Amino acid sequence: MAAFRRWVVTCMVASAMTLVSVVGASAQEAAQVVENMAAQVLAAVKTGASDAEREQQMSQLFRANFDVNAIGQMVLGRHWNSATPEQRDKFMSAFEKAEIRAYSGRFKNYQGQTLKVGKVSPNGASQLVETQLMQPQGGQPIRIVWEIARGKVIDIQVEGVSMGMTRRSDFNAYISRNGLDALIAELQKRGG
Amino acid sequence: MIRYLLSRVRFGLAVMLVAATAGLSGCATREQGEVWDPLEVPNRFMFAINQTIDMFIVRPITVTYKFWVPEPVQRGVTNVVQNLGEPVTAINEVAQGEPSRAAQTVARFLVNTTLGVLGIFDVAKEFGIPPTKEDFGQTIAVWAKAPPEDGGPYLVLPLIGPSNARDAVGLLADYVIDPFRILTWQLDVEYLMYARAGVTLVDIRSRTMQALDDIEKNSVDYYSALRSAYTQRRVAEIRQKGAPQTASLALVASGRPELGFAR
Repeated sequence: MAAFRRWVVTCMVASAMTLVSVVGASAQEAAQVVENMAAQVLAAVKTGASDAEREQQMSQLFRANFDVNAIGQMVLGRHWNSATPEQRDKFMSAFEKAEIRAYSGRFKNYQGQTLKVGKVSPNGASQLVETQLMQPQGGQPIRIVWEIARGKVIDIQVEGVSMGMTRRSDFNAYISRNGLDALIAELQKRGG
Repeated sequence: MIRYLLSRVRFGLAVMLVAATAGLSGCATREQGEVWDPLEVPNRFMFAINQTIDMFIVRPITVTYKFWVPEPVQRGVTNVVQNLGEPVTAINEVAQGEPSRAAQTVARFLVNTTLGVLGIFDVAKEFGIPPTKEDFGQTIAVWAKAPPEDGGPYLVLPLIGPSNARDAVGLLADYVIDPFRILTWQLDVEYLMYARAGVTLVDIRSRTMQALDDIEKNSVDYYSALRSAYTQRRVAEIRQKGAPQTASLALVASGRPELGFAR
C-alpha cells in the first residue's frame, strides 16, 4: 500500500514537472518568436532600402510570423460564418495585403527604437509576451503585448488596445453599412 | 484641455447623462466586444464637427509646435501639464482607497514644483517616484464595481472627442474638485485656466498624433475604430490601477534575463 502511494506521488510529481517544463518551454518559445521577429524587422529597416524593397521584406516577415488566417477570421467575427468560401478567400488575400502595407508604413519613420522583451504569461491556449518599445532620447516607452499561439502572432495590444479587436469593430461597422463585398473591394484598393 | 471652457455646457449635459445612464444601462443587447452606442447618429455628427475643427485649427497648430519647438522644451511642457494635474490625481487616489499612492503623488507634486522649477523637470521620477494618473471616470468605475467595459452609452464630446457617460461625468467632477481652478477663481486670474487649457490641448494632441494618424489611415470606418480603441484604452487604464502608462512593467521575469535586441 505504501509502495502504491509512493508510486502515485511519484507520478504526480513527475507529471507536474512535465507540465511546468512544457509551460516554461512554450513561454520561452513565445518570447523567442517576438525576439527573432524584432531582430529581423530591425535588420530590414536598418538597411535603408527603398519603399518597395522594404515592403517586400515586410511581407515575407509578416507571412512568416503572423497567423494571418486566425487574425482574418477573428477580425471578421460573425461575418466569417455567413461569408461564402469565395468571399473568404478574397477577403483573406485583400486583408493580408492591406495589413502588410500598413505594417511597412509604420516602419517608414524608424528613429532608433528598440524592443525590450519582458515577462511571458499564459492566456488560455496562447501566450502573452510583454514588451516595451523603447524610444530614443529617453522618451516614454510604449507598452506592446504580443499574443502568440502555435509559434505565430495572433494579436498585438498597444497600450492596452488590441489591434484585432479594433479592426473587428472597424470592419463590423463598415460591413453593416456597406456589405462584405464593399469591404473586400476597399481593402483591395488599399493593398494595391 | 478645453474641457474647462465647456464646463457650463457640460453641467447640463452631465445631469441628462446621469439620468440616461440610470434609465438605460443594461437593457440593450450588444454584440461581443462591441461598444454600446445608442446615440450613434448624433455622435457621428459631433465627430465630423470635431474632425473639421481638428483639421483646420488644432492639428495645424500642433504640427507647427512639434516641428519648431525643441524636444526638451516639449518634454518640459508635458511635465508642467502633468504636474498641474497631480492634485486631481491625488484626490482621486484617496477616493479610490489608495492613500499611500495619494501620498506619493503629493510628494511628487511638492518635489517637482520646488526642485523641478514649477514642474518643468520631473525630478521625482529620478528619485524613484514614478508618475501616476487617475481621473474621476476611473474612480466611478472603481466605486461602481461594474466591468470597466461598461461606461454607459458612448459619447463624442465637443472638442474633447471620444468619451462615455461615466467618463464625461468624471471630467466634470475633476473640473469641480480641481484645486487650481478653485485657486484661480479665488484670485480672480481665470485667464490662467484658459492658458492652461490651450497648452494642455496642444500637449495631448501632439502626444496622440502618431497613434491617431495610424488608426485613421488604416481603418475603413475611423469612427468605429476610434470608439473601440478609446474604450479598450480606458479599460486598460482602469484595470492596471495606478500603473503609470508604462513605467511599472516588470521587464525581468523570474529566471529570464532582460533582453534588448539592438545596441
